[in-house]
Amino acid sequence: MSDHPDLENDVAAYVLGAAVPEETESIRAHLEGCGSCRELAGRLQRAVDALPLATETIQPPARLKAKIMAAAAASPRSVVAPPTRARVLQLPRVRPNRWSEFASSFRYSSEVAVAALAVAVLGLGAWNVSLLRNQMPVGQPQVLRTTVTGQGQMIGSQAKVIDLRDQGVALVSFSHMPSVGTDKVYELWLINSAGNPEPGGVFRPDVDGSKILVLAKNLKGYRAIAVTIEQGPDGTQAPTQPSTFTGPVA
Amino acid sequence: MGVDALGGLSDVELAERLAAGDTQALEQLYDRYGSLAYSVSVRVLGDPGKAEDVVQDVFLKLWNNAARFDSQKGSLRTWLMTAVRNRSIDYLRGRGAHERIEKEIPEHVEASGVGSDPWREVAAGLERDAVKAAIETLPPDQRQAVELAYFGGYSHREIAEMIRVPLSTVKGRMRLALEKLHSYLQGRGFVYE
Repeated sequence: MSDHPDLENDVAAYVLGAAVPEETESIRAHLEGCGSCRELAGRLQRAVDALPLATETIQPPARLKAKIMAAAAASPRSVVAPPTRARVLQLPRVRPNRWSEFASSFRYSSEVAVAALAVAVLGLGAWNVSLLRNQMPVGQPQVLRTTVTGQGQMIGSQAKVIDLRDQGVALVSFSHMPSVGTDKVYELWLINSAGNPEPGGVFRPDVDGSKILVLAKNLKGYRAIAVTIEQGPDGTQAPTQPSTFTGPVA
Repeated sequence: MGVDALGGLSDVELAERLAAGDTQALEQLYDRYGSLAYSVSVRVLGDPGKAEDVVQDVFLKLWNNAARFDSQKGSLRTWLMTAVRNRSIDYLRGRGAHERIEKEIPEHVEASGVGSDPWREVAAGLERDAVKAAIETLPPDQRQAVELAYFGGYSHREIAEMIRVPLSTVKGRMRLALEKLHSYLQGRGFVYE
């Protein structure tokens, strides 16, 4: 155990790739001169190196291998240019804890970072938005899939959104949703391009935590979905509670 | 020698063949790690199309620079997955891959990929199961910190801002999570000192 726990925590962020550039050099310099931190870095690095194995296996399309092999066969050996300094994306400033601010945050960007920021704005507590957007064309380019997952105490909960653009229908399949109070319901919100929430339907999950909502329209023009817990049985026309589940769909 | 015959070779041996310009070695490496690389990129990007681009870029980078790969500094799998993760996050953040400093593979990293035995697939599956189980054991806040950083590409400061906790708390969670992961995996023989 070293006598500088703060630096040890910095080392953890460093090996995880989460240190900011202005501290990276000082951490490296410290590692060169501190055996205990160097040993710590080695230990933690082994854990980081294992993280890719936590991903669910997705088979790549066969064409990918063919493309790589064809490109390799045609590619002359080259020398890597020296890398230049990295930039770190600065998130927008955290905004006040109000629904209107959450909605307006979607006006700034459709990127996943905005969805995450929205969570911070709302101060979700147990709930956190997944940063993982899984948009998969299925056969036809007019079928889009998006997966939004919960985090924090809601790890394991998710909503799979299947947007059938051509058919003008969208399905939102919730799974592993916790039960809500007998007088409450979950209400789905569709965040439009202006950043305003439109009611998408109310539901109570089945015993196994699942529920599928079928929307009689596609999600073209919508930027995100969100879920709040509202008064049952009919919900409301505008959210009255912080979102418990949100993520981009565009 | 056909590509199937290379299946018994270790990653180090394949890297040597790669450096000599053996395309069958590249094919064998793709068969070994292409699926994992693609899965990591899809996890980060959520976009199969971009993930294809990333995996193609990384394998071709390896192909073009195989002679510079130093197996003493780490495993080929680690290099590949680190490159895939970094490039995916570059895509996610909308910056060119050339703008990133590639963190060198530390010298202490053991070649932790599965060996060259015929049970490679079985061993790989067991290792993946162990890593998933290890992550499941983490408290949600620690798991969140690690996943936001590694798969989301966020800095500790960004994470602290997002989840509204002190920066020191985020750093502490990261360290605790990684310590636990290491301990769990080490206890099951998947990482070595």
